[in-house]
Amino acid sequence: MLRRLVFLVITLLGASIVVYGALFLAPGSPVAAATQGRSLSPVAVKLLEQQYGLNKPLVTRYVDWLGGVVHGDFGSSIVFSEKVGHLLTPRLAVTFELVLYGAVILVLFGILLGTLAALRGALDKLVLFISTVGIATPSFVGALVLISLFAVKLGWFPSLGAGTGVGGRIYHLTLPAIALTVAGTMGVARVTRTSVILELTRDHTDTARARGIAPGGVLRRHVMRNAMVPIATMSGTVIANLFIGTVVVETAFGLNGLGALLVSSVLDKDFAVVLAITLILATAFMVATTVTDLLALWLDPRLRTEGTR
Amino acid sequence: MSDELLRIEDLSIDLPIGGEPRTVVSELSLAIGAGEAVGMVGESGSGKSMTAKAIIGLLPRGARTSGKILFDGTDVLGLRGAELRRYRAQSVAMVFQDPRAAINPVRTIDDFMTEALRDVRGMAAPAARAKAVELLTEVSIGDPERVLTNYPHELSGGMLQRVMIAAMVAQEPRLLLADEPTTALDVTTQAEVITILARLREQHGMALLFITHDLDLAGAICDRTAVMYAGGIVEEQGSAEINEHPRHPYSAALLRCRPSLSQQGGRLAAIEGQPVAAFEAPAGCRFAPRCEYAQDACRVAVPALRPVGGAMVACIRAEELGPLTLLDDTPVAINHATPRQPAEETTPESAATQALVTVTDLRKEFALRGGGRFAAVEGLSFTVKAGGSLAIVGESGAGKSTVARMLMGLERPTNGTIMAMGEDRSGPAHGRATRLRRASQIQMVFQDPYLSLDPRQRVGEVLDESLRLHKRMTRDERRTRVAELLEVIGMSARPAASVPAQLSGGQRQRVAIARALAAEPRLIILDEAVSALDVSMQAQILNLLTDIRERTGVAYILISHDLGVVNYLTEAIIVMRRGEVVEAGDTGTIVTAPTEPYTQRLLACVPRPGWTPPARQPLALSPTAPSA
Repeated sequence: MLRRLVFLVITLLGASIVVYGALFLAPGSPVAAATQGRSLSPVAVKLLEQQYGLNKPLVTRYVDWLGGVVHGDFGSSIVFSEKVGHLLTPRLAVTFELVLYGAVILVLFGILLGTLAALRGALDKLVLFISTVGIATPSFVGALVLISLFAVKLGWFPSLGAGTGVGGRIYHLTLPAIALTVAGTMGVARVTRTSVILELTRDHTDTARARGIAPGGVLRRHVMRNAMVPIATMSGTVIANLFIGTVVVETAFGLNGLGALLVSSVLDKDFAVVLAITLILATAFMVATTVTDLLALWLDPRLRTEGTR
Repeated sequence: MSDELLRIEDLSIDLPIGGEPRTVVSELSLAIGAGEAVGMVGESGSGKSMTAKAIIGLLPRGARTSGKILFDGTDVLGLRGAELRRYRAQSVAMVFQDPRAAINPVRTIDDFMTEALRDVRGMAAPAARAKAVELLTEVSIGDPERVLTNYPHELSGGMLQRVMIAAMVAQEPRLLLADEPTTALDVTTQAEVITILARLREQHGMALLFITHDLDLAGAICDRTAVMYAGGIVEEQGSAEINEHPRHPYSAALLRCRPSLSQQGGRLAAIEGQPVAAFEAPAGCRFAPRCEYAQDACRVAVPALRPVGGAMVACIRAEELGPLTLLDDTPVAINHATPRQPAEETTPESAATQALVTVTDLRKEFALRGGGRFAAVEGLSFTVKAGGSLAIVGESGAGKSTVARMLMGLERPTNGTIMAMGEDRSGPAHGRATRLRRASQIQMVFQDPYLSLDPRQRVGEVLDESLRLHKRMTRDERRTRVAELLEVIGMSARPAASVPAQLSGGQRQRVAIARALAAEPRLIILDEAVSALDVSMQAQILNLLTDIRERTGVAYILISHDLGVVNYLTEAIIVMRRGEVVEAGDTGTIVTAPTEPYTQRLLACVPRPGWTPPARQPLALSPTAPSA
C-alpha cells in the first residue's frame, strides 16, 4: 500500500511537470485570455504579470506553485479571478457523478450483454456486431447522435445542463453517461463474452455439472464467479479511462464539470486551473486502477500467493 | 447378470470435428455389475474418455449419440434437466485426470467438498463440513480441518486428487468413473491414490470404471479389463488373465512394447504406425494396418466382439491364434547398450578425455518469497562419459529439471562446477560464439512436443533453422542434411513442409529429436521426453533413441520418473530426493537390488504384471518441496 502511495506521488509530480512545461511551450499568453482581447498598456500588462508571478522564470514559478500545493493552496485562476479550490468544488461533483453513473451503466450492461451473448447463440452475432460498432464510435460522434435522436427528435432527455436535485441530475446526466460509456460498455461486454465462454468449457465447470448442481448454481458459482476476474480488471481499466472521456462529453453536453473546464482553461493557458484538474483526474485514475488491482486480488486467491510456486 | 448396474448397448458417438460429424466411438457394448471394477485401457483417440463422458452426460456440445446407456434399466442418454441432475447427484460421479483443472481454483476446498452436499442434498453447512472432514480422513489426509481452508493451488497434485476422490465419494455414487486419475502424478503418489481408490470402492460398495493407458495399473485395481482401439472394444477379459494371456493382437502388442524393469537395452517390440480414432480407421478390423497377424480377410469387415476361450475378443483369428505369449519372437539383444568404448582404451589418461560432462558438488539455491533460501539441488556430483548415458530420477520437487537447466546454461549454479567438453560452464557464456558452441554441444528434448515446437514452423524449417545456427553449410548442403535427418527419425515419407498441427504427438517428438541432432551434439538431455507419449509411440521413440546412439555415439542424460524407461535406456542412475542424491550407481544393479529405502519404495510403486500398490509408509508422504 505504501509503495502504491509513493508511486502515486511520483506520478503526480511527473504529470505536473509535463503539463507545466507543455503549457509554457504552447503559444498564447494567460494575460491575453484574462483581458479578453482588450488592448492594455504595457504597464498594466506588467502589473498583471507581477500579480500572477508570470514574470518569474519557469522553474521558480513551478517551485512556488508546488509549495502552495503542499500547503493545500492550488493558486488562483487568472481568467475567473477566483481561488482554484472554490472554482472546482461544484464542478467536481458533476464530473464524479457523471463517471459514477457511467460506471454503473458500463458494468450492468456490459456484463449483461456479454453473458447473454455467451449463453444464447442466437444473440451472439448481434452483440458482436453492436459491440464492434460501439467500440469504433468516438464519444463525440456518439454524443451528437444521442442529442439529435433523444433530445431533439424525441425530446425524452435534455441536451444541455446538469439539472438540480437527485432526480434532475439523473435525468440530465443519462445521455452524457451513455455517450461517455458506449465504447467501454461494449469492451466489457466482449471480455465478459469471451471469459464466460471459456469458463463454460473448463473442467471444473464440468465437475460441477457432473455433481448434479443446477444450471443456476453452475453459472453463478463457477462460470460467473471465475469470469469475474478478467471482467473486473477490464471494467476497472475502462472506468479509470472514463475520467479522460469526460473532457469531450462534458463539452458536447454543455455540462459544467472538470472536463469542460479543462478544455477552456487549456485554451486560456490558465495554469493553476489546468494543473489542479490534471492532478485530480490523475489521482482519480490511479485510485480507480488501484481499486481494480485490489478487487482482482480479492477475486483470485492465486494472485495473493504469486511467486511461491 | 441379475445385479447388473450399467449396460452400454451399441453406443456410437459422433463429434463435430472440422465442421463434420466424426465417429469417435463405434457400436460399443459393455456391462458393469454392481460393485464391480472395470478397467478401460486404450491409447489416445480410442474413445475411452468420450465413453465415460457419455455415461455421465457430459459430451461436448454438438455430439450425436446412438445406442443406449442403461443405468439400472433407465436409458441415461435420454435424461434431461432435473432427471439428469438427480442421476448425476445420486448415481454416478467422475474423477478427472487433472485435479488442478477439475477443481475450481478460486474457491476453497471447503466450498468444493461441501457444495454438492449443501446444494443438492440440502445438508446444513455444519453437517456437510463434518462429512467433508470424515471423507478427507478416509483418503488419508492428515489435517482435514486445515486443508478445508486451503485453496487448490496451495495443495500438491496428489493431495488435490485425493480431495477430488473424497468429494466424489461424499455423494455416495453407485458408479465412480475415473478418467486417468493418476496420469498426472508421480509413481509414489499414483500408488497411494490407487490404494485409496481401491479401499474406498470396497468400503462404499461402489462400481468403478477405471480409464487408463496402463494395463498393469488396471490389473492392480480392476476385476475386468476392456481394451479399446479406435472407438471400439477389441478385447474384454478378467484383469489378471488379460495381462498374462491376452487374446487380441493389440492387447498383446501393448503389453509387449512397454519397457520393463527386466529389460536393459536392445529393441522394444514397438507397434508400427500411429494410434487412430474411429473415423480415421480403414475398413475392416481397425487395428489391421498395425497388426503383425493381419491377413486379407481382416480387412473385409469390422470383427464383432465374441466369446473366445473365456474372453470376449474382436478378432477373426482369435481361435486360431489362441492365448498370445508376451515373449516376442524377435530376439532381444541383452545389454548391447553397455559400454560403447572397447575396454582396452580405458587407460587413466583417456578416461579423463572421455569424460564428457563432470559435475562437482553442484548446488542451486532459490530465494523464497518472504525471505529465506531453498536449495533445489545440493551436493550433486556425477560424470557422463562420451557415448554414455545417465538417468536422473525422483519425484516432483527432487530437483531433476533444475539440474537439466543448469547443464543447458539456463540457470547458473550457486556453488560447484560444471565441466563439459573441457570447458568450465559454471559461469555465463560470454559472446555469441561461446553461446552457440555450448548450445550445439548439449541439446535438449522437452517433455511436451505440443509446446516445444513452433506451431507455424514447418518441419523442414525447424531443422533448417538449427543447421543455420550451428553448422556452416550452404543452402544445398542444408537441404541434403534435412532429408538425412528426416530419414534418421523415420519420417522421410512425410513432406518437410508439414506443420506440427498435422503431426501426432509421437511424430512431433521425432521432429524435436531431429532438431537436437541437427546441431550434432555430444550430449542430449531428454527431459521426460517420452512421458507424454502413448504407449506404442513411446516404444518407437525409445527404439529410435537407441538407434541414434549407436549411429552417432551421442550421450544421453535422461530425466524421468519412469523406471522402466530409465532401465531400458541408461547405464548409470542417480536417484534424487528433495535436491539431494539418495543413491547412485549402475542402473541395472540399482533397479534390481536397491539398497536405500527410498529407492526401494520408488521401485515398489512402479506398476508391473501382477503388481499391487505397496502399503503406505511414512516415506510415501507427497513431496512438499516447491518445484523449481
